[in-house]
Amino acid sequence: MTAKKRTAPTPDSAPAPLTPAAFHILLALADRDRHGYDIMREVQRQSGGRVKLGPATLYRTVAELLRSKWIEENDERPDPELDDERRRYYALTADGKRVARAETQRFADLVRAAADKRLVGPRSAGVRWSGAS
Amino acid sequence: MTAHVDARCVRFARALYARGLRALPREFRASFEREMNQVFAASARESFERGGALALTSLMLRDAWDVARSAAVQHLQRRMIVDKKDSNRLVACVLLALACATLVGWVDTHTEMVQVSVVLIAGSAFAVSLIDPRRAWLWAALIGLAVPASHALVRLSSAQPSLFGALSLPYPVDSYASTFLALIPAAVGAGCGALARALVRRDRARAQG
Repeated sequence: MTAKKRTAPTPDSAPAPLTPAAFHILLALADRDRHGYDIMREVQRQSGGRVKLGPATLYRTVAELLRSKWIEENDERPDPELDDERRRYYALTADGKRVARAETQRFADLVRAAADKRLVGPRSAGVRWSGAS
Repeated sequence: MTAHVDARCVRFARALYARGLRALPREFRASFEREMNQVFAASARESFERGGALALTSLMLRDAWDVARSAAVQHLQRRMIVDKKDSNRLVACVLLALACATLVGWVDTHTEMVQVSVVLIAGSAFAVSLIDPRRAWLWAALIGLAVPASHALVRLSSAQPSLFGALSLPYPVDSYASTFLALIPAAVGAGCGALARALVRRDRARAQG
């Protein structure tokens, strides 16, 4: 009944599938640190507008990711001159990166399996994430 | 003038949203309420600039649903499991309550004296709620519903003897709905158990100064 307490995965152990919101947030933080509103916009952008996280879902998931130590608060501001001091920035941790890679690889494997059954084209199935190993 | 009205629309939406956030658990709000308000304010401004009052209304409805769903999930999580120790206690109490419920169901379908069932139901609910008072409602429901469940089983066996053999009740039951009255002694027992635990805790706290 509770939010699943996921332990940080080791290279040998694959974590349980993430919720869509958690995966989107990890993905949004993969390239740089972001504050809440920026995460929300990036999730919308990277999903082609299909996923719109509300603030409550966003911060509920952020709280779970913080508890799992997959993301952390970052005190440094990317551009302190232009930024609002009250905003909190979130960054992906090393464990968070590993989880995001493992989840991405899981999706890649699924796409490959779907391609084997001719549900998607061979080009998309050929994608491999080098960092996932 | 228009800009003034626009600003008022967004301000109104923000005020409404801030009020709605009170549905979320206090500790969650303490950590994220300010940020959530900031994010909503930015989204509201953007929506209004993009699509006017209609887009703002749509955002408000979507975010109201978002808050309601999150509040329900978080309150449920808080109520059900707090930590590992609590989770172990939950599993132990569920097993104990199910054992009590089985006993209650068996006794109720094999004894004519309703008092025996009532005492057993209230006593079991009291005992389990004494161990875990936070979920007294759950223990009352599990143990109280054992009577309707066992009667349903007997009725099913009468209709389909091939399933469990032909079971029968030692006393006549006019209406199946009356079996749900077992929830009353279960609720009373669970309530007393939770109250007893609260009193014990208070006395301990007083003794420790």
